[in-house]
Amino acid sequence: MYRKYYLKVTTDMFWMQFFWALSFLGVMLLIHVIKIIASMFNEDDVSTFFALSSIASNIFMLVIGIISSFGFIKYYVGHGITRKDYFYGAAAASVGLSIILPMISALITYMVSFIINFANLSIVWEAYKNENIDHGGNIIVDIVQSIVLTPIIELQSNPILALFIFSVSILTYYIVGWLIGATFYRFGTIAGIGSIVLGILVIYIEEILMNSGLGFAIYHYTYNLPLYLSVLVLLVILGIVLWIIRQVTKRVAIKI
Amino acid sequence: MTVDVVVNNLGLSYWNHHALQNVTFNLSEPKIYGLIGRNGAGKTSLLSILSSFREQTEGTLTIGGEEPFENAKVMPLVNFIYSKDYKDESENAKNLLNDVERYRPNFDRDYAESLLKKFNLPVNKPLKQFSKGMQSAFDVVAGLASRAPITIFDEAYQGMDAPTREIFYQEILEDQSNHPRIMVLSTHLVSEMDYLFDEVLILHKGKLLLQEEYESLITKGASITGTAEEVDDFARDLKQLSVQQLGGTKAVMVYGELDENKRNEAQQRGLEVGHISLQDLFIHLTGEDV
Repeated sequence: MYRKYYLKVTTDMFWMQFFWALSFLGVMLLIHVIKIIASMFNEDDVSTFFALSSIASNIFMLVIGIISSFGFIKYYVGHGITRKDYFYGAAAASVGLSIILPMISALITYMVSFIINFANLSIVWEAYKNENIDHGGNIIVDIVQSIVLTPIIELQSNPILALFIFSVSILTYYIVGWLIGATFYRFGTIAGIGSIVLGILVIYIEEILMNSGLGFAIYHYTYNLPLYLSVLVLLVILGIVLWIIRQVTKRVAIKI
Repeated sequence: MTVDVVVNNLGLSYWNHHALQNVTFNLSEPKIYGLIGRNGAGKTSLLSILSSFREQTEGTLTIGGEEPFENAKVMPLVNFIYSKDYKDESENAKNLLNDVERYRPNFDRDYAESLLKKFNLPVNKPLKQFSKGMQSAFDVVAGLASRAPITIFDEAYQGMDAPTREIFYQEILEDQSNHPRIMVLSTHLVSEMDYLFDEVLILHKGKLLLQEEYESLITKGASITGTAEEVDDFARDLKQLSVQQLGGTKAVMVYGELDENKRNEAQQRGLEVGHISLQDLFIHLTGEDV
């Protein structure tokens, strides 16, 4: 029986974070509706809900990744669950959440589109531009840009790819958040700040890999990698980050 | 599985601080163990190690013959109840107990619900709206109803008023007799809780001062009551721990067992000989001059 504990952790963490995600998407939907209504008066283009939630979900996942490390490890060890079961449970839940969140976002996008067509409203959808401005090799600007912007494939061009890119991106942010939270919890401020630097680097590399794989222009570089190779390299990097998180949390003392 | 706790030369050091040193004891029978010690004696550090919240830096610990840390077979058998921070907890008692039920194999739902009623705790109110005493009572409910073979209460009474603490103590005694287990109670409130203890462990400055049956421990000293002159005369050569006087009557706590001659002498002098309180013994043993 004890071997199944990580499955319980997965289920519990998934549902808890799923409801947080629903609340978050609810707020995003409200913003989206306000933008749509505003556009009917000022005739601005509106970005799709899918694009809007893609960008915002990154930060959402970063935050709940941090919360996961602080709150949940104490909670589960307090219930007699090993750090190992917590780790595997939390990791599986984060993958599940990264898959389901884009699907709900897509569903809302289709529903909004259906309602607008049904009501015969004239809304102009703004196509998301996967562009990064070349700042002549200023890496700081590149990094800030990589955090703010994210490669997005719109649903109408390729739904499966769109969902996949969304998932991979938010999973990266969740894992980075988890790394930062876990490092602060275990080692305190100085190492924690180091983990933020490492996290930003991972996000920067993810941006380069995804843009390269999708054939988008990235900064002043021009890479053209096959998508499968970009994804493979990214998954290896995320695997390494997960390994670091496991090492950090493996024997961590729970503070009371 | 048998869940005896065997602690051998246990130590915990961080930076240059030794929180625990050479702590050795066994908890082999299902009874109530009182862990007492002054502030900073290392009680919470020791209990954190027993419950796998942290790892010792020296020595060994086994529970049921196995090392508990990161052991999925042992960790669910140990329940560590301490004063938790619920100021941001928006879940209610019912939902939080659902979680406990999922992870604690021996959890008794009916008992948990009867305890909620006894402590007068609302079921559907978020825990952040509970008073500190009510939050502590909730921890006690979850802790008792989990029926973990090793149940540890680390000053779990914080914020509880006297009647609530009394319910807590009565429940410990009753549930312990119905479902015997190893129960460890760490406390400052020695005089209030001493009657609960079957065995006492005193921790002082990170070291275990003693582990002894409560009944035999309190014969390590005696209280002598009688007229002031007789008591003074009788106790002159004895180690006096505390003195109380009301009018012509005096009560003195003395340390050290009274032999048969001394007891006869007390009787002849018309003095009343009683047990020493654990609190007086504790204060004496952990005082700065010791």
